[in-house]
Amino acid sequence: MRFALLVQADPAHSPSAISALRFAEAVAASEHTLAGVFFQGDGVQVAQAFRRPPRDESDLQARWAKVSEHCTLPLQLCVASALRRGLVDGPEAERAGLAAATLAPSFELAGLATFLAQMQAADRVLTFGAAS
Amino acid sequence: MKSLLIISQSTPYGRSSAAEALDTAMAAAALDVPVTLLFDGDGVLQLLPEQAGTELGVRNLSQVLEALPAFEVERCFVAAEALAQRSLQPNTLALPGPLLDAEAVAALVRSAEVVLTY
Repeated sequence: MRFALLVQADPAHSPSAISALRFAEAVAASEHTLAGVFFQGDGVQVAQAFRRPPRDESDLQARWAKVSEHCTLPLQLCVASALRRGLVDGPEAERAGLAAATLAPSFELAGLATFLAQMQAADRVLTFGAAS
Repeated sequence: MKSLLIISQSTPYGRSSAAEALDTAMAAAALDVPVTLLFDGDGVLQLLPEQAGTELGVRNLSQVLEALPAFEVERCFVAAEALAQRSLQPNTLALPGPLLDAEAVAALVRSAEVVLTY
């Protein structure tokens, strides 16, 4: 089965963020596949390159990078959500005259059309929501 | 094309979810994905009149809601139960579409191929 994931949860604020990661890891370890992983809203925070999680907490970003590598799947961020939270890739940093790119490797900026295409390609779409 | 139901259940200005629900609905309509928007839970607070989102430094959601038909998001519904739970009278709201009782909401969710919650 092909799964598309929509991750809206901020890793600092919601346990849904790690649930999404664990689900993706479980898919990667199974015969199932990922049609895509798309981060929207506060979910994009996991891709912040300058994150420094405490030593006694799991490094979600590094674990996502492993999923991405294992599945040869880019991890995509809603560009509007990313830019308003200061997450920029190299070209965008240059274009806007910013000091540095803030997007971690294995993550990339994408439009909602990308997610909607993943949704069409998937057998199941799972939303990992923001805390209410 | 898989049909998409977007359930907008967040307050209008508490966080960005309400705006993202509308963005996703408009993007889906632009790509000819059959999209339905349901306002449920705290999401019905987005329908209160006389919003002044711009004073909060963000987009005024009621203006975006009014523009939905222009973006071809035509199937919009409101959960009647969510209004009743919040003592809101339908005639005081800017309703983007018909009210649905709990049974009709359940049928709508069952009929959608993909459901996203915001």
